[in-house]
Amino acid sequence: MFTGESSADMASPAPIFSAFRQALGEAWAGGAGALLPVGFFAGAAVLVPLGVGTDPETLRTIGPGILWVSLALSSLVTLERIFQADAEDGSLDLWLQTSAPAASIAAAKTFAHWLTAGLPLALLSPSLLLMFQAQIGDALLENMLYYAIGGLAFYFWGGVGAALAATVRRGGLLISLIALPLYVPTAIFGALAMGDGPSSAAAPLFLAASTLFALAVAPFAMGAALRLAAD
Amino acid sequence: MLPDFDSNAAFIWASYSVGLLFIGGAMASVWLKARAAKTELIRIEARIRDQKRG
Amino acid sequence: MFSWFANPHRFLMLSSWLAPLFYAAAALLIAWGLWQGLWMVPKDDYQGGDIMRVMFIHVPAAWLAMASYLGMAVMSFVWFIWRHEVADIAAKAIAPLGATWTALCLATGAIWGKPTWGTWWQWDDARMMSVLFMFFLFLGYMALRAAMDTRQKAARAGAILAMVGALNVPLIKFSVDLFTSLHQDASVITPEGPKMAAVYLWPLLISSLGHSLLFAALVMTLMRAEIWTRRAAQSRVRLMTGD
Repeated sequence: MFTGESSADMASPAPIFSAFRQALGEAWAGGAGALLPVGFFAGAAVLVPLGVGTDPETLRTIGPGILWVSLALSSLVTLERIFQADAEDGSLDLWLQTSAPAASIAAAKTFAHWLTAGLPLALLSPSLLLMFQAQIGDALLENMLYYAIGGLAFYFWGGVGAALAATVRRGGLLISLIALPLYVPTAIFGALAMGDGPSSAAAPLFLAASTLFALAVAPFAMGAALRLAAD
Repeated sequence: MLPDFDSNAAFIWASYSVGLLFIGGAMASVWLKARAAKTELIRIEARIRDQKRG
Repeated sequence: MFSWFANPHRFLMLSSWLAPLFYAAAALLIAWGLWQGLWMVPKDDYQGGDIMRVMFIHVPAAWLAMASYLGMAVMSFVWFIWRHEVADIAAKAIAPLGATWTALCLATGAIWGKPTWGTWWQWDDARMMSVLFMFFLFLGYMALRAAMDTRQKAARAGAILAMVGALNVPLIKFSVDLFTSLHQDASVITPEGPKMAAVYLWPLLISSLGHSLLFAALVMTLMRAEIWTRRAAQSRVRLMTGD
C-alpha cells in the first residue's frame, strides 16, 4: 500500500493519492459501491410518488427538494463507515504516520466518496427530475451542476461528523445530529438556486461560496478529529 | 390578584408556565447535581483522612 | 487575563461569592421584569393585544440562546489554544443550560405564534429557524462529548465541534434570512420594533439582564459541581492506591 517513501521532511503528495485511491476502491467495492446512488435514486423515484400521490404539479414542485434530501441521506450513509473502518483496523494510525497532513488524507478520502456516491446522484438528477414531471427546458443541466456542488459540501461537512464519531459504536445518529446544522446553508442556497424568486440570481454564487468554505474548513476539522480518534 | 388578560390569556399563561417549568427545572437539576458532587467529595476526602489515620 | 482564571481553586473561591450574588440580583431583576410585564405594562393593540407580553420571556431566551452558544465557542477556543481546564469545564457547563434556554425560546415562540399567526411553527420565520439549528448544535455537542471515552477526548472532540459550529453560525443565519425574506408578510409582528417605547423596552432589558445573570450563576454552579466531581475522582484513585 505504501510506496516505500523515505522519511521526507516536506509533506509528500504520495500518501494523499494513496488515500484517495484506497477510498475510491473501498467505495466502489468492485461495483457494489454503485448500488448506493442507484439505490437512493430508485428509492426517491419510486417511493415518493407512491407516498405523496402522483399529481404532476405536486411532483414537479417537490422533485428538486426530494433530490436534495436524497443527496444528504446518501452522504450520511456512506460516511458513517468511512473513518470508522480505518479506526477499527488500525490503518488510521498508519495514515497519520505518513508525511501527509491528516487534513489532506481526510479530504482525499472524502472526495473519493463523493466521486463514487455523490457525483453519480447529481449526474442522474436530470432523469429523476424528468420522472418528477419536470419539462425538458427546465434547466436540468444547470440543476445537475448545483447538485454536484451542493453534494460536495454535504460530503465534506458529513465527513466532519463521521470523523468526530469515528470511535463511537453505532455513531450514525450522532453523525446526523452533528451534520444537520452544517448542511442547512447548502440546502437553502441549493433550493433557492433552483427556484425563481428574487434571491435566485445570487443563490448559485452563495452555493458555490459555501461549498468552497466547506472545502477550506472541513478538512482541518476532520484532521483534528482523526488524530483524536487515533489516540 | 392575577392580571386579567384578553382572549389570548391561555397562551400568555402557558408561555410563562413553560418558562417556570424549564428554568425551574434547570435550577433544580443544577443545584441537585452540585449538592451530590459536594457530598461525594466530602465523603471521599473523609475516607482518605480515616485511611491515613488508621 | 485568562490565565488568572485558569486556576480551578481560584475559580472556586471567586464563584463561592459571585454565584450567590448573581442569583440574588437575578431574582430581583426577573421579579421586577415579571411584575412589569404581567401587571404594569399596558397592552398594545397594534401588537396583537396582551399576547405581546410573551415577549418578556421569549426575547431574553432568544438572546441567551445565541449568546450562550458564542460563550461556549469562545471557551472551547480558549481551551483549544491554552488548554486551561477551567475553560473546558465552562464549555461543558454552558451546553445543557444553553440547550434549555434555546428550547424555552422555541417553545414560547411557538406559543406566541399560534394566536398571532395561526400556526405553532412558522418555517418562514428566520429567527425561529436559526434558533432551531442552534438547538441542534447544542444537542450535537452534548451527545458527542457523552460518547467519548475519556474526559480529554471529550474536551478535544467538543472543542472541534463547537468551533466548527461557531464558524457556521453566521453562514446559517445568513442563509436562513435569505430563505425567509422571500415569504415574509408585511404584517409579521416582530418582537423588537424599531420604535419600541420605553415602557416596553425597560422591562425587556431588565428581564434580559436578569436571565443572563441567572444563566451565569447556573453555569458557575455547574462548573463547581464538575470541579468537585473531578476532585472526587482523583481522590478515589488515591484512596485505591493507598496513597
